[in-house]
Amino acid sequence: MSSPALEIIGLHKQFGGVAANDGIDLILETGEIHALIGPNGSGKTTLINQIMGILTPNSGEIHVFGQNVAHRPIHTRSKMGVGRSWQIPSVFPDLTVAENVAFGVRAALGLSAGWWTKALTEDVTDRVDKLLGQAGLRQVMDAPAGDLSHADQRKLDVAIALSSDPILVLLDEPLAGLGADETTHMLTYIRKIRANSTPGPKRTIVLIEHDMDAVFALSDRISVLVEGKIVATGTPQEIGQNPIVQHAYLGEA
Amino acid sequence: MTPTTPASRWAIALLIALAAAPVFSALAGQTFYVFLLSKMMILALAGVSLNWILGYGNMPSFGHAGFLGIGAYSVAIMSMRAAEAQGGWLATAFVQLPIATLAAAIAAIIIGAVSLRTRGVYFIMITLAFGQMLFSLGVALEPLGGDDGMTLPMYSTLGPADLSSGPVLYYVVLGLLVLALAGSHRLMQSPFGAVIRGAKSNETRLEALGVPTYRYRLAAFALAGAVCGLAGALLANQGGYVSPALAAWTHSAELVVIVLLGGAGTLFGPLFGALAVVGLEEILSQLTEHWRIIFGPILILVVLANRGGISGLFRARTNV
Ligand SMILES: Nc1ncnc2c1ncn2[C@@H]1O[C@H](COP(=O)(O)OP(=O)(O)OP(=O)(O)O)[C@@H](O)[C@H]1O
Ligand SMILES: [Mg+2]
Repeated sequence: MSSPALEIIGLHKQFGGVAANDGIDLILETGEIHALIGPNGSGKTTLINQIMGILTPNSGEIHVFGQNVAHRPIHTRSKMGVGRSWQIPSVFPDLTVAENVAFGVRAALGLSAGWWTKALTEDVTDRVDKLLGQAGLRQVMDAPAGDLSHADQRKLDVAIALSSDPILVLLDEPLAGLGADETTHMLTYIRKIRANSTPGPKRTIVLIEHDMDAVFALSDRISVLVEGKIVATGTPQEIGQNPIVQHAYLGEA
Repeated sequence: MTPTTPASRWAIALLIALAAAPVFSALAGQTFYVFLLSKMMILALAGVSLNWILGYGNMPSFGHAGFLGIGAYSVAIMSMRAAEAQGGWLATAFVQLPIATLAAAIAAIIIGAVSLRTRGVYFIMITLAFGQMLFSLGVALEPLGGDDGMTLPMYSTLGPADLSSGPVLYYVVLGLLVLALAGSHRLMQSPFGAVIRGAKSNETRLEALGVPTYRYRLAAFALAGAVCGLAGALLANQGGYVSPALAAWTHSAELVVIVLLGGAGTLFGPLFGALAVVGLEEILSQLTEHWRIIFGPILILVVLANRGGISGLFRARTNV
């Protein structure tokens, strides 16, 4: 049997007196879109911070395609195919939009950052162009990222996450702060992301989102996090009917 | 910055004027200005190197003059040996300048490897501390004059000439400065430069894209140290002597001022900064011995009024 895309065992992360993640177990099959929902402060971002390597767990294991990565540095996890977006768009404000996505493209092509070549060589530009086209940012590719509107920075944030061609994509509230049209665009975009890993298997996506319509429309399965614990996992239908979930979370929404 | 911005047009005009300056000063019989402009350009070269880490990369080193010291003392030691041997290969600039550069590079790798594990104020403090260590090392080097430093027994030779000649030194410095500026432009537009500029604002995100940023920042720190060592080797020849004061923290601060005043993270900022600092020092020190009292506020005003320094002033004016 092949290893699941992501397997989390007994993950625990403590911030002072707060157990932000309190014994999390989770398995993601390759190619699924798995939504993580839960009230503010329930530990969703903390969880993906540990998957990416930005935070180190106090205890527990994180297996990415069968390898325990819980204590590996961030950049090696990227090399293993993990990529993420940020809840608050996290771009390189002084750099152009094209430069923002070029880092990941170069890393995906196995190019180290040379001293003397141009930053945007042809093979890089091709993929930069494709990524920005998909994100709907081609027109602004030469603008400094810091000058973009919030919605465009959000799109750019997701495009940067995809630039390194990850096969396990962690999206932290990709719809936050978007208007209706932009939300529709982003939903289409996320659906495309899954199919688009070239070549090879479908991308596996962890989707943190407060927009329940989007969550129910997009995801294959949903896990509900409350106070650092997963209280339920299931298909959208199962989660929609789960009384604990309705009480703990959906009821308030 | 591309070579078509207003700041870069001014900078290129300035470089052309610098290329012609020795001719005019010779005609006017004012060779002192060649001496002064050489010093200015050497400080600009050191500023260019500091700009890579402080300006583009947000690595605020306050010990950068330590590398000036290493470069200068490398030349002093080699020239002592060469003087004992009455010349020989160790006397030539083609040997002395590369070795001085290399010595500074090695020191920068060691200092950078430690310092770059810290951030912000800690980085400032630790680079300051390393700078002071190098200063103290100079003071402790009794055979090289200790506290007082020493006069170079002989200057770096360059074919039949040597760098004691004002115009020869001047054009060597100008040539190296132009090379460093061209290299700076190329470097910062390269993937390597993009990593340095990107790490300035968002290192975590770079790491999450598979870029091991520490390595690249260390390489930038080493390169900056190396080029500053080269500037130190030139400075030894310009002044004809070396002393620990070259590596003193006040000198490091002067380099920081050159970068900030000229416009941190702009291609030609260090050139403007060096011209302004050396020029102001010269003018104000003739007016009063307490010239720093005037110099300080001018500096604070320029930097506060305009975050982009002098390069930023050009931009602001053309935007109106
Ligand atoms: N770096 C940190 N230091 C201290 N406490 C933290 C840190 N990061 C998160 N926390 C705390 O951990 C808990 C979980 O936070 P987390 O950001 O993971 O929640 P979340 O589910 O992503 O919430 P939201 O929906 O608001 O984004 C909160 O109580 C938060 O205050
Ligand atoms: Mg969050």
